[in-house]
Amino acid sequence: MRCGKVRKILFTAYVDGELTEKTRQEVLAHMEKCGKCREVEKDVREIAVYPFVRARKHFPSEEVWRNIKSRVEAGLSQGRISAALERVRETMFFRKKVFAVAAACILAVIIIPRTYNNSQNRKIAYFLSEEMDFLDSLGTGNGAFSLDLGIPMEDLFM
Amino acid sequence: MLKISDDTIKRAAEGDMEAFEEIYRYSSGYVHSVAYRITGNRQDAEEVTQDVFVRVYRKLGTFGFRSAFSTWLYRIAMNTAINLYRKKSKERGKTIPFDDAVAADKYGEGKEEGNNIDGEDNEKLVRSMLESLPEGQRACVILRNIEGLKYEEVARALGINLNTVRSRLNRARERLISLYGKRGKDL
Repeated sequence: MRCGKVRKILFTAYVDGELTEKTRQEVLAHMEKCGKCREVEKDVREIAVYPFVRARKHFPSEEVWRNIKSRVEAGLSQGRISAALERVRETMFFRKKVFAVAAACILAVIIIPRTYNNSQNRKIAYFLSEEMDFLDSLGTGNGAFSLDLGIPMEDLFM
Repeated sequence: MLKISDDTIKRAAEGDMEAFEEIYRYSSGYVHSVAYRITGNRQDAEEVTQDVFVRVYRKLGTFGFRSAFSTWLYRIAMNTAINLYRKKSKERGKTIPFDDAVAADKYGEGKEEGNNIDGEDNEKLVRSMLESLPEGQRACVILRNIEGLKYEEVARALGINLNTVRSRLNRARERLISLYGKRGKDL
């Protein structure tokens, strides 16, 4: 193995113990002969690895758990409220549909006969007005249905 | 790497608070540690830890056991921490100075692993080193060197491929040696 390849390995897999046994033996054999690579290996370990391995472990304060617990529980009750509201909403949505259909039926029952009656009334009114015009025309001779026979009406019956 | 039983996860997903607390007690140190190393200060790390576990609780039902729970958790923690770091970076200026006061306050008192005499100096050095790295490299160094994850686990936690993990670690270490090593410039 050449220095370049060995150094690449030294910076990562060698110091991290991620080498196969065969490659590790090859690296070790190279370092026995190469002082420069031994120095590099020492630097990598001492400067770039050991300070982190020796670093303190940090733990959160007890307050963190209390906050998490209260947030989770608040979320749970919020969740329960949301679920209840959702159920109400769904029920209301269903009822709304029922109400809408019922209201439509009621309106239909009220409006259709009225409309029918109105139209009937309008027909009757129109018929009566035609009749009145006719009768009126008989009297004056100026109506829409005037019968101009050239003799007065009275003469016709006498 | 964390090991939490499937049964505990399932119970927590069904709303069992005791099971959820068990998960929290077991994994909050890892989550908080990652958050602290990314954000660089205690307050933000605690905010991230809270957000992560609230999200975990809400999303537990969607966890399909296709990957390790720990990988899933690290991924959420890393994303949440990086997002908060970016947000705070924008708010405060381009970069956030890591919290130098942290080592001096009572934070983590009695909970540090080991009892190094140079513990505080090492903390300052670690903060300074992490601050000198770009986000992606920083995340790899944290998960590999501080949390002790294998390359494959780092890749899964960050959603990147194995070669990216290797190259990021390589670049990060070259950079650290060039900045902090006596022989750095010779490399």
